[in-house]
Amino acid sequence: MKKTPSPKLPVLPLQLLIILLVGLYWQYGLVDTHLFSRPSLIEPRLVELWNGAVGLPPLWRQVAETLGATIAGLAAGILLGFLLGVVFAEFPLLRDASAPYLNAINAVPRVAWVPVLTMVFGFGLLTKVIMSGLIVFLVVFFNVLDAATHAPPLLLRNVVVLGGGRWASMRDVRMWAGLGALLASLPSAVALALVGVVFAESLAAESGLGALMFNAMHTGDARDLMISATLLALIGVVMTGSVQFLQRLLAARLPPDIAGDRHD
Amino acid sequence: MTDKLRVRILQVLIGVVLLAVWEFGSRIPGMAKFPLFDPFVVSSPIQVAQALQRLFFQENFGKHVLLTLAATGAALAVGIALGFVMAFVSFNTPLIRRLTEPFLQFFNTMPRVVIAPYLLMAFGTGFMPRVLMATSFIFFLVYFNVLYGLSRMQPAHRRQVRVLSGGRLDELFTLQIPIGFAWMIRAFPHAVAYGFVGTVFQEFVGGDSGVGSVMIYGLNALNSATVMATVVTLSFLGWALFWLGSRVGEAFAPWRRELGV
Amino acid sequence: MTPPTATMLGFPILLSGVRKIFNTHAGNSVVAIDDVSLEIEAGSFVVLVGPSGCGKSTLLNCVAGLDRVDAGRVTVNGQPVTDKVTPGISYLFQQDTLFPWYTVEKNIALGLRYAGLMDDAESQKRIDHLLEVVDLKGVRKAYPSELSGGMRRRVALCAALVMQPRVLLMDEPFSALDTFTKASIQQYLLKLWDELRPTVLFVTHDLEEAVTLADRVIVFSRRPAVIKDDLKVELPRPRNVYAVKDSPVFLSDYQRTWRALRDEFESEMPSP
Repeated sequence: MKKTPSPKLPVLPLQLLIILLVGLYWQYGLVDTHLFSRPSLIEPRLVELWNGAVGLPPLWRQVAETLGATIAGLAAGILLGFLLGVVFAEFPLLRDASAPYLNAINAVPRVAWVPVLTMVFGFGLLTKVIMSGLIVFLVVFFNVLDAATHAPPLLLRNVVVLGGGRWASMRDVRMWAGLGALLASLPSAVALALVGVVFAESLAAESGLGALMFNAMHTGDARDLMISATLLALIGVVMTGSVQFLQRLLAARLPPDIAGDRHD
Repeated sequence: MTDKLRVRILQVLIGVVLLAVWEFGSRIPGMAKFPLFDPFVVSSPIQVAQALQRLFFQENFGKHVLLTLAATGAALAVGIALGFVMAFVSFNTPLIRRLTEPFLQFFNTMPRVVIAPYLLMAFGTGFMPRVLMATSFIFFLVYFNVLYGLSRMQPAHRRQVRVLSGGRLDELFTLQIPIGFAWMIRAFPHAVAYGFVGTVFQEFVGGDSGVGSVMIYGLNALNSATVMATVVTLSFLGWALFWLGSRVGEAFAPWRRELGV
Repeated sequence: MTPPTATMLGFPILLSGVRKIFNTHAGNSVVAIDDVSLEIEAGSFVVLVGPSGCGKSTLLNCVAGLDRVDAGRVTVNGQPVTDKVTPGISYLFQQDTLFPWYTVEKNIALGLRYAGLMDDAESQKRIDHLLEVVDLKGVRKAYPSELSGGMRRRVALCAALVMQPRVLLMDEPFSALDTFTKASIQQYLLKLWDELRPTVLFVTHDLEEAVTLADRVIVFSRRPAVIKDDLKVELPRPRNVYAVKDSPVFLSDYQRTWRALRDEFESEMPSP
């Protein structure tokens, strides 16, 4: 990509300029305030919300709830997805027999699980965690399963020759192959965990950033909408960004074949 | 007994057990207390089958299905075209790429579902917001995949074009476009799947038609059979779409393998 | 390391009338080995040479129990070979089978771990000693990716020998190395072999390597493999890999092996 021999035009000032112009336009330009509100209107509302406006829990608690549900779902989905992925890779009968059902579940557009889960588990925190965990599980499981199934056959043969059994195969070969896939899919998993929570909150949950957002949508409150949407966007970007950063760090320090090289 | 036969038998067995538990689980004394086994909540296979019949033959469900599919299709067309073209522009114009990179990264990593309320408020409950939502998923997927593929283009191939006295247009048509195309094909089934999610989600949030809206209608009416029926329909549609997408991809298979895609 | 005694010598191997057929995807059957009989003395270093694809590797697999013979018998130490790899057999493959996610010392210790012998102080001493013999003490905690190809092969050698096998099977283990790396690792191999004296079955297509290493060279024909020649190598032990190449005995043994193989290919050789 860096094939232009000429000195690079500094883009950062330009980008900052663009952001500034957009911000200024938002405040002073021809903008539908019913949709986007204005920074000057939002700022007082933000302060008001933070400590708990009338009838609403404090904003920081809503943020914590959404964040907490995301992290819980992420952890559960990763753990389960990784373990089952490695085990199923080692026992092909298990994998092949359950394949059609797992694929059927995977084929359902994720958001469709929300009504079902809501009916079973209600409108609370549990549904959010389960929804988030389910989405993460599906992504992690299939990626880990694929990598662990296609673990280097030479190494698997080596385990047999050295006298190891199924457990050795899983622990010394498949697990590491799966780990590579897990690390590679981590940013997607993080992003999806958050989306899962928002999906769950979209159906009139009582609290959480997503609930705030969709309630604002129904009442037509552009300020709350902008605040919650922006917070969600920031959380998403920060979480995914940090994971990507962590990924790069690990990739440099871990032995190869773990860092993974997926791009989806 | 051959392996394949064993697998098939096991699959059928699992299916039968699952259906039986679903249908009869609630009748085990004490189990109905758990929401997972409460027939009011999860319905039963027979009721779901009846609901499906009712939906398709008496309530014109087919129209909704077609609408959802149409929206997904439209989004695919727009999203892929845009993503593809943008990737080429970015790749060949480093200035634009560096300028737009942080913005595109931002919009890619933020949960795109937050634009749903805006789409609803700005465009209503019709066809357009669904297409836009789905397009947002598809665009980024295609854009980043094609860009990645182009960036992995081998310098040896580029040199070969120069050596044979080819110019930039030649490189574009004989090298870049085939590579970009292969990577787009690779992303295609995923684009289809995500596009479908986007459409259904927007219908959820506020749609006057489409499978997602029927599901919400069922939920509001506390009709679990309808809800489960739509889940089953969506599962089938999702699977069919992904399968179709993969077949299209397979049609270009041998050529892709060479590229390592 | 305790010097080998008679009881620690390698196992004798016996193949009689061995025949192995493969079924290809197209449905045809290919005879890989056709009526091969061999008696391998305990603790001897036997090299199998022949053209590529002639079935030498398949023979090794049959001895290891990884492939089953279609006719004939294979016994190791008097016991017939079964589907399970007989304990006491180590196998070093051509390809790199080091686990990229484990350090050198963990890679070597793998066989010990499977046998449940890890906590033994004796095991640590074994690993120490092996690394010392091959001059790799310093990279004990390194990962395979940090090592050169030759170093990785040395590690693989140690991993194969840490269990003190009675039979060591080697399938073209050094073919990927350049001339001088190959020579030095051959020397390391002979040093280790001298200490432990397993029975070695070493497959190669490199005639020079065969004569350099072997007590006995067995030359195979093209597929279906039959034995074309069987010669004793009368070079002294312990052998100096660098020095033997100057010996006239080396040259005559090499030429004999070459001639045995030449007529396999005479008809195809392009005219000068």
